[in-house]
Amino acid sequence: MTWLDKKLLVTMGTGGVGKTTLSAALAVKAALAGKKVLVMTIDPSQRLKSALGLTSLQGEPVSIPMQEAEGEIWASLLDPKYEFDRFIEKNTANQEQKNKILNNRLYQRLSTSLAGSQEFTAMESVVSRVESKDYDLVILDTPPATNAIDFLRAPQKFYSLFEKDVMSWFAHGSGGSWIKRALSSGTKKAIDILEGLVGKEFLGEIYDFFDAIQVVAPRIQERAIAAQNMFAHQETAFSLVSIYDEAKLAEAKELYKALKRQGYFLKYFFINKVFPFHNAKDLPPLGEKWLASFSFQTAVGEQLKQDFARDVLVYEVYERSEDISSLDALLKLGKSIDI
Amino acid sequence: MDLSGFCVNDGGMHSGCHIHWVSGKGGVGKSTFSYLLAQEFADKGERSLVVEIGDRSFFSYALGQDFQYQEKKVEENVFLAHWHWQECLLEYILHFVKLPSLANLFFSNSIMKNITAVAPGIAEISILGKLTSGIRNVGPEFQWDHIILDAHSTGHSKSYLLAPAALHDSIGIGPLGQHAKGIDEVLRKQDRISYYLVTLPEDLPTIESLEFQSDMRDLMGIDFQIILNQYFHTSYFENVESLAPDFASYVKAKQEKQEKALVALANTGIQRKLAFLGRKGDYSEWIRRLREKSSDLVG
Repeated sequence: MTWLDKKLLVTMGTGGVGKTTLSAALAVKAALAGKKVLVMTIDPSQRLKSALGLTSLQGEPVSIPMQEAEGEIWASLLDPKYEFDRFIEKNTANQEQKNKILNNRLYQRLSTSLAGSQEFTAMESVVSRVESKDYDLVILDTPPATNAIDFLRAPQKFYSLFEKDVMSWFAHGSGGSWIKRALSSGTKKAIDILEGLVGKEFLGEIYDFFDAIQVVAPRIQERAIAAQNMFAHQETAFSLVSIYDEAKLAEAKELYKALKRQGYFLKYFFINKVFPFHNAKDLPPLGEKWLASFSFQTAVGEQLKQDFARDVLVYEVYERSEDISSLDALLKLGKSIDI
Repeated sequence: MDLSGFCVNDGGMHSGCHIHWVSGKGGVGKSTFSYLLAQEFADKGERSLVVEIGDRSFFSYALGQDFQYQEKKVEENVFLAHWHWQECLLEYILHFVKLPSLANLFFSNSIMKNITAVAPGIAEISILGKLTSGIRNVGPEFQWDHIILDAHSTGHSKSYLLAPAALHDSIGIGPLGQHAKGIDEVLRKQDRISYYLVTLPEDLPTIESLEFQSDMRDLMGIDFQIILNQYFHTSYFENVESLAPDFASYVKAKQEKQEKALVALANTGIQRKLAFLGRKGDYSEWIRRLREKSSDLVG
């Protein structure tokens, strides 16, 4: 099974490695091979947005015209607030339920800052696109998480906020009196501390939030599980983007192991922005001065390939002189990747 | 329980502390600049604490030892710590309830975990509360001349910096609202906090840095000073014509990018340039070499 036969390709990597650009270049490559491909990204730079023709801020995919391609490229910008609102709209039974959540003051402020909520909504959106079968291949450029494995755990973490015991605790209270309900003495004391910390009114708002959102809690769980399953499916492949930098490579190795432990398939490893001149003797003295700065990469490159060789395909992507600010530049970058 | 006592000035013992907030896109060299600042202060005999926040500790990797909440000395007058917001919150609560058993009870309670995870701004306030406690003269004795925050990427920095004011606006009076207000005031005191934005001599990072800089000026009146990292000395571009053709065009492209970036940054000014230097060997020694190599570069 080649990467073009996959249904979902998840691109991971820490900030500053060119992950988003590479995801877009792979999408271009897939379209050249005749696929209908959707690339979903959270926070692309302005340049890349204009390269892809993404002007709208909301999450509906837009088609990107590309004459050379047999297939189609679609792109969408994941806006966590938009995606979360859409999720609520889809999963509430009536107008009243929907408005109760959407109008909740805390929801409005925290639907994007809740632990795991951005990742949950990103995944939910991706999973539903893959499920829709509207595309041959979906490429997800993961949010710039500091630790990519957290991204995969996020839906579960997010769901755990709405676990049964917590929800039932909030479910039957009423307004300000809920704190005084019969609770274990431990919880009572903890609540006292929290009340001292944040004040009664704020605590009341937190209660209102849980009260409103409980109707979608079971659905959140369902979708979190669906996401986990899809990400572990063999039609899903993970790719990792890194650069020749000690710290980033160490992170990459950790991620590789962590993915393996969780039962995910890391299939492709792209080392981006590789210094395009390998051979010191072909370069004049000044070239060597440059090369010295990059000598690290040749030393670790081999080791790295050995470390990953068994089940991961390693690709070096050479640094390019031009800025990637047009579809044409993406096309060239895509063609230069020999995957 | 009344927490307001926590916010009251308990004496001016440690008012000299200065905060340095280092931000920038991923991979531009925030940690490098943070450590470099600490080392410079250390050479003047001033005690610095470099603080990492977030899930991962870069320094744990770079220096080959594990950094956690409790700071560790890494060289004379340079200390490192890696803070998680939960630990900051625990310290805050401990200061307030005094009893460790009670504070632990708060944290081990599963419902409490969920509430604190849901309450917006708690993580930010916890970290910023600890960061600014020296200047606000609250909490435990502060022993640093400088605290250097190796902050998140620009997007995260923004949400952190805006959180106290937002929290104060939404919960107003009440202990946490007051606490948030106090923190927000400190964040705007530019005689007590310096803000740095690390960037690279390339188009894209430069443009994004300028956008962020102007955003923060508009939103909070905060001025981020530009630190240009991985700057190529002019010697890199000498005799380009004598190079192998494809290598020459590579070098020329680098040069053009750097010059474009300098033009873009001309209005706002560059506070400092750090030389391009491949990473090699002992970290502390490498930072010293970097300082040496950057010493003839003017902002």
